[in-house]
Amino acid sequence: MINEPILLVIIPLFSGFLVPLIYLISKKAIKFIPVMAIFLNIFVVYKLININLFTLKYYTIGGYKAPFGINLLFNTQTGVILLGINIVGLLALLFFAKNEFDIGNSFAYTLAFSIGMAAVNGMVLTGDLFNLFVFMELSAIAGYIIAVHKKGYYASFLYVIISTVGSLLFLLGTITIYNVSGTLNMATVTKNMGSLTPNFLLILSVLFIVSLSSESELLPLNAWVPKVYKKTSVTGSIFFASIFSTAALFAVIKVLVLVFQGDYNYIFNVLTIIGLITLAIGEFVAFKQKNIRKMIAYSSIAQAGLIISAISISMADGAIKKSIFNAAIFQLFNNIFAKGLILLGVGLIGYYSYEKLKGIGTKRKIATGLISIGALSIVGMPPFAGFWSKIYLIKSLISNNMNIYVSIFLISAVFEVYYYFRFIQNLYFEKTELKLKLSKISLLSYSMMAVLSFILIYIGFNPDTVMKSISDIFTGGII
Amino acid sequence: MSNILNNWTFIYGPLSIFLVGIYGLLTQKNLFKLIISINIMDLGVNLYIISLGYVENAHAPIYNSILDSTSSKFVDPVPQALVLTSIVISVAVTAFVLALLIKNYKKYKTLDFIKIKGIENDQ
Repeated sequence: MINEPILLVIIPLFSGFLVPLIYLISKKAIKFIPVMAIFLNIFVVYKLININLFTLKYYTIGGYKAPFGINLLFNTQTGVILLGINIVGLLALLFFAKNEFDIGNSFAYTLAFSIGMAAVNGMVLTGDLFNLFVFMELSAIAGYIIAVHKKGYYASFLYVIISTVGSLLFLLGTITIYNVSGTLNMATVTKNMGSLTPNFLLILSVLFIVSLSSESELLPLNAWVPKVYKKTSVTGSIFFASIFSTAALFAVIKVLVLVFQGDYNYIFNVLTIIGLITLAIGEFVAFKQKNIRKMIAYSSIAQAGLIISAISISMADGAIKKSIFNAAIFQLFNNIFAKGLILLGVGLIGYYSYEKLKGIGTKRKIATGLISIGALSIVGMPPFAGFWSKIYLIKSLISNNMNIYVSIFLISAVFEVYYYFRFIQNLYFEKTELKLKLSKISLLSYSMMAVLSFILIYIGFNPDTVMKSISDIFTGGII
Repeated sequence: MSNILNNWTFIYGPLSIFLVGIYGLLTQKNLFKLIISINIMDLGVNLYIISLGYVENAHAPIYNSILDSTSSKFVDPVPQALVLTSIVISVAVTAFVLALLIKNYKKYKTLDFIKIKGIENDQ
């Protein structure tokens, strides 16, 4: 019974329904409900990973066999990604319970965080196109509420409009696919889509690319990202940067691999160009930001561009080039912890503009030290996790004779190094006359940051083990 | 002739409603009109979904004695299930975004999003 992936969706969803009931009894006790739910989730994921199943397996729901009905796709590699997402979610929710519970209407936000975690787990697990749409809408609605956490009404409104357009286009694409292939199961769709005219496929792929770009922060529909990141609370920013965006990117990769696998070269050529443009624009705009959260927002746009372009490069010639694909997934995995660590640390210090963060390193030594670990991991410095994913990516691109992409990625990495190092230099080596009131950081908060930096260092020292545990995530076949 | 009419009713009609919504989204400056445009797009997509499941002279997809004896044709139940879900989602999103609209109006005293952008940038 415990070995059912659906529990990962049910537990947070049930805790969401529990919130109003407990609220009637005690208004303070509700903050522990999502924490407990995610803790239970981590236990379930741990049990599931220990099954050691390296090919994708269908877990049916309601007794309907695979092509019919809703089903979940799970293997150990998916479990590792889910473990990362749930660990960061647990830390973010602990932070919420301790520091930000009293901002605004505590009831609504507790509910939103629970439902958001359920939707995210569902997005990573599901193997059904319409089910993916429902989970995407659910995570988006949780995201709308989280975006209002510090009175960011306009940012949230913009997010609603853009994301609704995206999800409607996704629905249009899904139902068109259902019409031509007669099924909604991602893996079965491919077999039935063979005899379509190229123009029809072009329209279909444009629908999917544009629709998925709103959630995964790619180019046509990502105008909401910096505004929401700037306005939301610390917990909200961690949720957007390392939980929602990871799950959305994972869902995009899943749709690309399972539905559009095969000879749809032009889709991947278009996606490569979109990804590279997103990467370039993200890095350029992040370059001149003076607010750390806006910088992180543009940096995560750039990361999404990097990952999607790497994935589509690996799939462009029909057969998937596994080494590039695995390196991109590894990059996605590292990103969860590094972004979460930086946003958590900056949130604990409590100031976001470079002007106010000047010289903070002399006053808050441990916190800035741990933030620097996250920043160094993102830019790819040797002892940390980010170094290995970049090295694997560049090595695999060189071995496939794709030197043009290597040069583009290296140029973008130079930009990244520049603005993250400027941030670190600002923390340690600038003098300021400002007298800031710094709040005390508790031991629990320090230990939360220490967990994330420990994970980054652990991956940095055991890259091959981690790489092996998340490689061939969709390409190992389906049973 | 009937074929063309069918195409217009079931495919091009809903899609043109969808395009009307996109036009509204691109041209209007009032936040409330943006919400209405989103709703028009919803309507177009929902009509499109139902029309794909339509089969002429067919029965409701419920097994009973009439269906067994007279015809084996029945309409596709899956799009109907999908459209119900999509309607519920769009109602929820509309309710939420209308509440958000009131909050925006109280904060900025205007619904023109160019003016709101100006206020945001000044801060």
